[in-house]
Amino acid sequence: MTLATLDSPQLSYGATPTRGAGPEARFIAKQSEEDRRRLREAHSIGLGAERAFEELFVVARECGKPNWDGYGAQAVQEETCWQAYRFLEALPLGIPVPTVGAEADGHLTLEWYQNPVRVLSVSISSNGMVYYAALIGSSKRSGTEPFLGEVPKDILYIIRRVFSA
Amino acid sequence: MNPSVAEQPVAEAEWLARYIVRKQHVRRDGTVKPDPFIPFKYVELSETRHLALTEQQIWDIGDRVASQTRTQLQGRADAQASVYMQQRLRVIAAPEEQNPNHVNVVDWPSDKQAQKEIALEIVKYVRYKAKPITAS
Repeated sequence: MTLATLDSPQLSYGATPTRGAGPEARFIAKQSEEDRRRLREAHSIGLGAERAFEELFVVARECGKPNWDGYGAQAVQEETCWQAYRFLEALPLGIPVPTVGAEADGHLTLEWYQNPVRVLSVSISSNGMVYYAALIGSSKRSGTEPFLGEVPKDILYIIRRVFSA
Repeated sequence: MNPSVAEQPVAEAEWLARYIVRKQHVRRDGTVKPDPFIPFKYVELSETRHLALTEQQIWDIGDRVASQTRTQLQGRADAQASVYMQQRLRVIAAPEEQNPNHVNVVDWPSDKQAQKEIALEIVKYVRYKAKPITAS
């Protein structure tokens, strides 16, 4: 992934899938998309979502070659970066901004962290599979789900729980 | 560094180092993310035992790891072998020519979700040490 792709006209903050089939439904979806985009842009300035996107590109650049960790790691693929980008885009307003990282198998990670026992780590693969594990006090949650354009509900629930105390 | 010492079985109380070469693996509060503890590619995790090494020798090995990536060693994540063993992992001495104190942490589950669960548990007990400016 190159930084030039940031300027792609196809990308915008907060694009949501259109569910309705008729022209009214499409219009409503379009309007809410634009409202959402405006809100997201404000959100990114105020609460740091922009930082997460910047971190994503830094990690993508630094981990884009094999053995980036000194232990034989797999390079982070461009498609993985796009999946992570779309995942960040799909986060609803009001959700805390994660930090971005990478794992030796070439997955990108998003982490929501309050302390070592209130934390959620999400791994995103090039084929759109999402693997997550969380500690919320003495309880644990984990799962595997495909990312189909919307952040899985269980992940949103866990993020809120991580920051609820 | 004595090769014969390094071939001894790893004791629970021994300290092991996982070298960190990427800043984003360390959180702002100085704790370590689970990311560098995900095993790849043989479902093993490479570590270095502190056994019979001076502090400087531990850092020197880390510098060699970092030199493979042409980056700077950021620090190391230390944990006792018991931390891995409590996760039903085994720590096996695997001396290498360049690093007689090398060990592999093995018996990881193959599925990613389970690996992440374990990595989150491990990092609760990890102590991060940033590389001292004077060490080289």
